[in-house]
Amino acid sequence: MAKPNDVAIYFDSSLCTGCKGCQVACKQWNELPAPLGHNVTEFSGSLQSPMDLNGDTRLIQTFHEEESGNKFQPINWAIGRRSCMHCTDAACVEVCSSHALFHDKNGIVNFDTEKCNGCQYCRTACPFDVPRFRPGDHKIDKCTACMDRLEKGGIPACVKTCQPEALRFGNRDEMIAKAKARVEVLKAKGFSKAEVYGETEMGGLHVIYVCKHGHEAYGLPTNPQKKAVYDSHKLFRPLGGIAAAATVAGLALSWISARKYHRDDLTIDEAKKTWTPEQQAKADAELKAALEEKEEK
Amino acid sequence: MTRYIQRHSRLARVTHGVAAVSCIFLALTGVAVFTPAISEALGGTFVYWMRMLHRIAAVPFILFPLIALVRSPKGAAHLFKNNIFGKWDKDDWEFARKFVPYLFNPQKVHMPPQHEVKGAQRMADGGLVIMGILMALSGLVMWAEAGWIPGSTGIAMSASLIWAAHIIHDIGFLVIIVFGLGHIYLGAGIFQPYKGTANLMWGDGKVSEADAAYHWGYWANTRLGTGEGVTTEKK
Amino acid sequence: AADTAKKPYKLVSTQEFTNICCYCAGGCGVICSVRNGELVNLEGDPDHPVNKGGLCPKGATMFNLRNVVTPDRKVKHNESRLLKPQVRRPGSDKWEDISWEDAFNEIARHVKKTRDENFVEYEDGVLVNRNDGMASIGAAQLQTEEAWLVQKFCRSLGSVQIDNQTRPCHSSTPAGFAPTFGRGSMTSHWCDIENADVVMSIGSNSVESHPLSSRYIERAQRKGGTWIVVDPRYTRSAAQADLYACIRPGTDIAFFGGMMNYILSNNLWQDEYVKNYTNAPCLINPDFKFDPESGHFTGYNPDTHKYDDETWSYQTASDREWDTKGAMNWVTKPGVPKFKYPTVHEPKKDMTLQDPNCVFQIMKRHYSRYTLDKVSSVTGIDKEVLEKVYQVYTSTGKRERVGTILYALGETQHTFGSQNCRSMAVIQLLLGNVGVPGGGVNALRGEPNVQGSTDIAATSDGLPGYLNYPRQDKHAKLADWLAKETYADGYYTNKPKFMVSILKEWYGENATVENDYGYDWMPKLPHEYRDASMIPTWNRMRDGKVKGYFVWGMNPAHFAPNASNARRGLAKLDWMVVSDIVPTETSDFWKEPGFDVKSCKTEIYRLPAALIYERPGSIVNSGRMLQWREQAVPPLGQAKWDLEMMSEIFTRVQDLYRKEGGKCPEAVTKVNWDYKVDGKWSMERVARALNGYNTVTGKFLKTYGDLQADGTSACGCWIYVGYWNNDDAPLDHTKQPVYRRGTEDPSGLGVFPNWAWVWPANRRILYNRGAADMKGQPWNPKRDLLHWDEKAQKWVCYDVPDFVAAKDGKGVPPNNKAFMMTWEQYSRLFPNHGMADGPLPEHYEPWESPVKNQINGSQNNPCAIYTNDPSVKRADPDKFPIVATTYSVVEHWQAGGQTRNCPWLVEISPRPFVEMSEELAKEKGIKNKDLVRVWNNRGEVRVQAMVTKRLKPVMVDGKPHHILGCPHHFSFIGRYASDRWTMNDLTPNVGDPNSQIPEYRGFLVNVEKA
Ligand SMILES: Nc1nc2c(c(=O)[nH]1)N[C@H]1C(S)=C(S)[C@@H](COP(=O)(O)OP(=O)(O)OC[C@H]3O[C@@H](n4cnc5c(=O)[nH]c(N)nc54)[C@H](O)[C@@H]3O)O[C@H]1N2
Ligand SMILES: Nc1nc2c(c(=O)[nH]1)N[C@H]1C(S)=C(S)[C@@H](COP(=O)(O)OP(=O)(O)OC[C@H]3O[C@@H](n4cnc5c(=O)[nH]c(N)nc54)[C@H](O)[C@@H]3O)O[C@H]1N2
Ligand code: HEM
Ligand code: HEM
Ligand code: SF4
Ligand code: SF4
Ligand code: SF4
Ligand code: SF4
Ligand code: SF4
Ligand SMILES: [Mo]
Repeated sequence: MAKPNDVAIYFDSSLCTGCKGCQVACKQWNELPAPLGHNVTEFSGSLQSPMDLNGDTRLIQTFHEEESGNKFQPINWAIGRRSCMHCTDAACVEVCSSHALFHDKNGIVNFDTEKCNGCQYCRTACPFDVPRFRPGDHKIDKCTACMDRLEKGGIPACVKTCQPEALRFGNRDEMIAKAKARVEVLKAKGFSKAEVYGETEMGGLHVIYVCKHGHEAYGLPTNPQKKAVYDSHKLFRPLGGIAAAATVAGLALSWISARKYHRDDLTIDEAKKTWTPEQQAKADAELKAALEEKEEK
Repeated sequence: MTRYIQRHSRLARVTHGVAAVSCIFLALTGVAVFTPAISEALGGTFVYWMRMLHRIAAVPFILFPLIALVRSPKGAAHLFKNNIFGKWDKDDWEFARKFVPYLFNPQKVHMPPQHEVKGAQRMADGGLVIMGILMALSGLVMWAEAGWIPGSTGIAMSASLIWAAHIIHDIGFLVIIVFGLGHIYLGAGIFQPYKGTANLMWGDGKVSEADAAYHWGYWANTRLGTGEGVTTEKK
Repeated sequence: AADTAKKPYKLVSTQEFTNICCYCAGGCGVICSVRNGELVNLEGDPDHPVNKGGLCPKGATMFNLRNVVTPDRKVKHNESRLLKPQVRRPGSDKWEDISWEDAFNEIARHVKKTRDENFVEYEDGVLVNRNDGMASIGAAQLQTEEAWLVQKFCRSLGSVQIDNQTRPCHSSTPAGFAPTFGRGSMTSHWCDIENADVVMSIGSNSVESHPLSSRYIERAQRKGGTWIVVDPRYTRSAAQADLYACIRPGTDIAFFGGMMNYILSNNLWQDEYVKNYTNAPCLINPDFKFDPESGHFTGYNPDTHKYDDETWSYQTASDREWDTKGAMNWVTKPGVPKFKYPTVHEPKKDMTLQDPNCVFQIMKRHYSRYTLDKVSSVTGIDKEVLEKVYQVYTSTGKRERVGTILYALGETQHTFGSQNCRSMAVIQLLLGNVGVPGGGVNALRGEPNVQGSTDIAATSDGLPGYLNYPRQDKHAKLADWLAKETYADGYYTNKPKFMVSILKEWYGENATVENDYGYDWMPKLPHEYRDASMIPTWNRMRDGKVKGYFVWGMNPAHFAPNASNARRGLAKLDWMVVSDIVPTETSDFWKEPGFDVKSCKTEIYRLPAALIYERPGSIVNSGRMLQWREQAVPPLGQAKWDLEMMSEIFTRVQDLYRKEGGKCPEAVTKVNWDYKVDGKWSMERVARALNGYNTVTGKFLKTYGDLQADGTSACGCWIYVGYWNNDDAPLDHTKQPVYRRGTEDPSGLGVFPNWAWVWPANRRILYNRGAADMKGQPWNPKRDLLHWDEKAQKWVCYDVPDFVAAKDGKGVPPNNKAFMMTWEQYSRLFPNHGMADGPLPEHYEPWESPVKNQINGSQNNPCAIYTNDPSVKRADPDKFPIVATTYSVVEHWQAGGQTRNCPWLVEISPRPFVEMSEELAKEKGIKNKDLVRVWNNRGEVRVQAMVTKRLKPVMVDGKPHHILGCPHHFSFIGRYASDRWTMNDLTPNVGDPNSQIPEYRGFLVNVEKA
């Protein structure tokens, strides 16, 4: 479970205007590129752009619109945030083949690019499909909660830039309390599906969402589970090591005990003499059959 | 003058050689992915390149056996029918039973004569071949999922398929490591009684009368009797 | 990157410089971190009271204007920036490099030739000293000091064809507000929105266009406030609102008229406020009428399409002359020019509001036609929704409640844009919401420094500080100007001080009382003064009458209504000078696909400008706050400050006239251009001129009180006196009021009185006398901005009072003089003059409309202008039945010169598109992302469709009508993103008679799958 002095990013979808300031502030601070060609990015048919995270995009805002049936507020426009959730039970950390991903202090799931070997197991294991491969340096990239800023007493770049205060940062428990209070307000305003997301999911996320229109509208999985794809590693990595070590040890022993052995060079006929009569008979029979077969040809 | 029996064709030797070298290479590079300590010590980029080499090594590993299969379908059929899935007789069982004690006490433990492929050898070689095939298949799945070339986006796959691929690859690795180590130990003749066997696959593919008689008595007896593939050469 | 502890922290050993965002008029503070002369980071200033560290996507990418990140995560300079001056020779198809020196000399030569060949000395017998062959556009992207010099530069060269971003943007706002309140600006400021009980956004998509506003609106909501959004589209603002009404473009006056009717027929007005602080009780000439049949007020002349406003006047109770011995004794001082003093005509009033000729009753009658059914039928707003909106908003008419209206281009950009603005002002007055914290009519200004460039009047019809520019028919001599422009009463009795101080700065030593302070050298506006504004200027270019064009950070080839017509105009010029940071459709108009380059003879100079953080200077945000930008890094390449360019060109032209003579050389040579310090052009030195100084002592003017009409004060813009007034450190911005950084807020109402400096006189809320009742007590104790302390006999103020609170050191007890900028000193629900198209807002259909006017007999504004130019090619509703409206998206900025050159922004909004309803898409067989063709008689565009539930057809007069949403940011030049098509090739180049603003909203098109 998340620890009491853990921190969290608070995201209140009911205050987010979908301006994507957070998206670009992330790039600015973290010096992440966007394509430098002419008219490279295609029109997505939506305000969401790019449509998905990528190796140079740690955060996107998502857009989903439905009619509400209420003529005074006719659209339920779910504007969400897609980025790393900094799970307490982080599948990515568990599966990481290089220990590049790790739980930093405060519960944030950070990573060390130096170590990452780009195997992308983390991406496949992540229940939120977050980490992304960067072809350029063959490494994975994802939100680090701007750990470098946090270490200097700052707040994440995306949080700081958010004009309507939809993003906040602070003690996780406080963020949860804030989210719960906000959900009550939204419910009173008639948003019956309003809910908090992230309190318990994956052992407790370090991004606490206020979902104005219910978590499904934002594409957040109900009861997320780490994808069990790499569970085998847990068993086989040690097992492989043990088996290899045992084999090598066994063979070394064998080598030592056999070191002195010298066998004589026997012809087949000499050798046959050491066989049992039964074996000799079998050998003779087989030779006969073979010769007959040869004859036939 | 010594009599020799031709045991492995050129094609078999080349195929084996390439497969063997790439297999070892695959194992080494695979271990790098397997072992976080390596990334931590040598850096992710090093391991990244190991991973890329892993893929490169996979190509001959898959390609050469396939070529051999096309060039000599009979040989391949023989390999599977006789050398892997052949019947086990009393002597095979006895060999298998005695194998472990034999490894540690070849002076005392004496093995029964064997056919072309020893029963236990069948198990080990068969294991290697079948695991090799499974490794190739599961590896290809993982490869496709991650993207064929650096920079390409992978093919989306069901979680269970990816899971199966990883499980298989992991099991295969374990089996190949254990069997492969044993195989090399014996095949390279590190094990004293097997001295000289390396020549079978890595040399001219011929086995001397004495070695043949020691390892594959029945087979030697038959071959020498019929003279098939038997030559007489100066020692 | 953030991911390894191994890299040193990004901001290690950097130096910080404060700056202000170069996008919307929010004025968000930013911090530039610099290491070794290079920008390494740019983010929000956490101490800044307006943005509190926040930045919207554009602000957050300002780094990109100089630097971009490469795919391997290295930082390099943005290749779209212009790095050296270049020239395109006549007929050529490429740019050639040119030295600055040569460029300046050639341009000066062009200017002189054009001036000499197109000089008009006399017109209709009046000395006009005008250069009709030259025009200028732009200033709102420049520092205030530079923007001010743009107008001085042009006018000194005889040109009156000057405009800048305020024209297509918010020119309707001052046009509508000044006759109502006396001033033309946003009445409140950003932080104040938080104090509202109800926020109504209409024709403003502020969370996208002014993203900082979302902080304050949503804070208001969190405190229990309600947010109403009225817009043809369900916008990102609408998504956060509590109540949304979908309105047909161009029907806002019907909506407001309906609200006035709702207020007046349901007794919802704020009685104490209306009776005392407005002209509701004043009696109007009984001949005044409105005729619904014709749709005209009395005085309409169908031949000229103009009104004679004689019948709109007050009935006079008594007359009063100026007391030149007492309060007005300054007019008789030596050095003050002589002029005929105005007379105060005290209006007759009926404080019971019952007289049928009183303003109140006239309004009641006038708006009784705007019934819920009628308004619903005209606007397309569902009747229940409409009534709910009215009910919620008018609840702020209660004493203790307050509502704010936020608006922008949805209101201003119409042939009746100024009346839209007036409607909102009137509603706010009726509800008693002006001057109150959390209230006001908040014109959310657009460009970063459009407020500044409006203040300093880089527009054809103004002089700095909201004075009218001299017209040949009204103001032949200085005495005429003083006599006609000086108000009989109120603060504008001081206008002679402002005017003489302007002239004194302008001509320096050469301005004397004997030569009317140089007034005659100034070019005079023609009789048809509206022809000096931008739309007719392009038409005149096209017709070969304008020869030379200065473009200061503006992009007419793109932003102009009927832009292809404007581009045809550019192609006819002899020469053009474009100062910009990047290539634009204007500098490179000859690169448009299909353009015949060879036969285009325009010589074009493309001058690289420094960025806002590559030079110092001040900027004025929408809340009238002047803030100083520090230079953080040197200009890229050979880029220069606009100040340097302007000054180098101007002084060269002066030299040419000194050496060679020419037409009226004095008008050029007598101009004072002393803006150098130690041989370098100095922004601080210009600041001194803008703030003003005493011509005898050389000391800064401290306050407005220091302005004189006798030639002892020189001041570029009187409303700025006080922003740069510290004589102890005349060149150090950190010691000047403009750079104050106090974050305290004693009132708790977001006033922040010690942060920077706000005009006028550091007042944060205009007309703040309205914050208190007739006893001087706040309407609601929660919102105590100022109150009268009966015991102490003085006003206790948390903001600088915008009324006479003390005289001769003694408190002035509460009275009704709440609007000291009108001569009546109360506000005008009904202005006797100042509005070209009627004293009361009346609904007319947009110039192009698919339906008949259901409210009166005039289809369009009877005074709409520029409609006869052949290029207008009005669309026939049968062929073009779809109502189109243009607007912006949060990710891009206007013509896109900046944002389309920022890869980070291009990525989050990569391509142009049009928004349409699922219904329209279905009808036309269009699917999401399909390429569609949108066209009318003026032009066409082909862009992708965004099919969305957020747009819906509106029901007008019982029939459904489709609306097409057209963001307008793309065109054919751009390093990272461009498109062959220009949205403004579709918009009509017709204008509002008060403000000359084009009608970018509500015009007709058709659409099909391309
Ligand atoms: N991101 C961004 N911000 C900007 C700008 C930009 O280009 N991009 N431009 C800046 C500038 S210069 C300006 S002037 C401001 C403009 O600020 P805004 O006026 O807020 O911006 P727009 O998007 O042009 O228009 C506002 C809304 O008017 C609606 N509308 C259109 N026609 C009508 C109508 O007839 N009636 C009503 N009621 N509404 C209508 C549109 O649907 C749109 O949602 O923004 C400034 N801020
Ligand atoms: N259809 C339609 N058309 C519209 C509108 C609309 O709503 N609909 N809106 C109108 C409005 S409100 C406006 S304000 C106009 C805006 O029209 P423009 O002012 O033409 O648009 P911008 O893109 O702001 O252009 C500013 C230019 O200044 C340059 N620049 C930036 N900084 C500097 C500097 O320091 N020095 C110099 N010299 N140049 C600099 C930028 O690169 C950019 O090219 O468009 C109008 N056009
Ligand atoms: C022939 C084809 C093979 C292919 C295509 C293949 C491919 C792969 C791929 C794609 C991976 C995933 C890691 C990554 O993305 O880099 C992988 C992992 C691995 N491979 Fe292979 N491989 C093959 C054969 C082998 C063989 C023969 C061995 C060893 C004997 C081996 C040992 C491993 C090991 C140990 C791992 C790490 C497993 C894990 O962490 O799950 N591979 N292989
Ligand atoms: C250096 C390492 C190796 C050596 C010295 C070696 C040696 C040999 C020898 C001597 C044989 C012939 C045995 C016989 O004739 O019965 C053989 C057969 C074989 N080896 Fe290896 N081997 C090596 C590595 C490998 C590896 C890594 C593989 C795994 C893929 C492999 C797979 C096989 C198979 C499948 C056979 C049976 C071929 C047949 O029956 O025709 N070998 N090897
Ligand atoms: S910056 Fe804030 S308002 Fe803008 S998209 Fe991000 S979370 Fe939403
Ligand atoms: S969201 Fe995915 S990447 Fe982030 S911590 Fe959880 S499992 Fe890891
Ligand atoms: S790709 Fe993911 S799982 Fe693989 S090493 Fe890098 S961080 Fe770890
Ligand atoms: S916390 Fe930092 S790294 Fe994560 S999304 Fe926000 S800005 Fe990007
Ligand atoms: S564009 Fe406006 S809201 Fe955005 S950062 Fe700049 S000033 Fe602030
Ligand atoms: Mo604007």
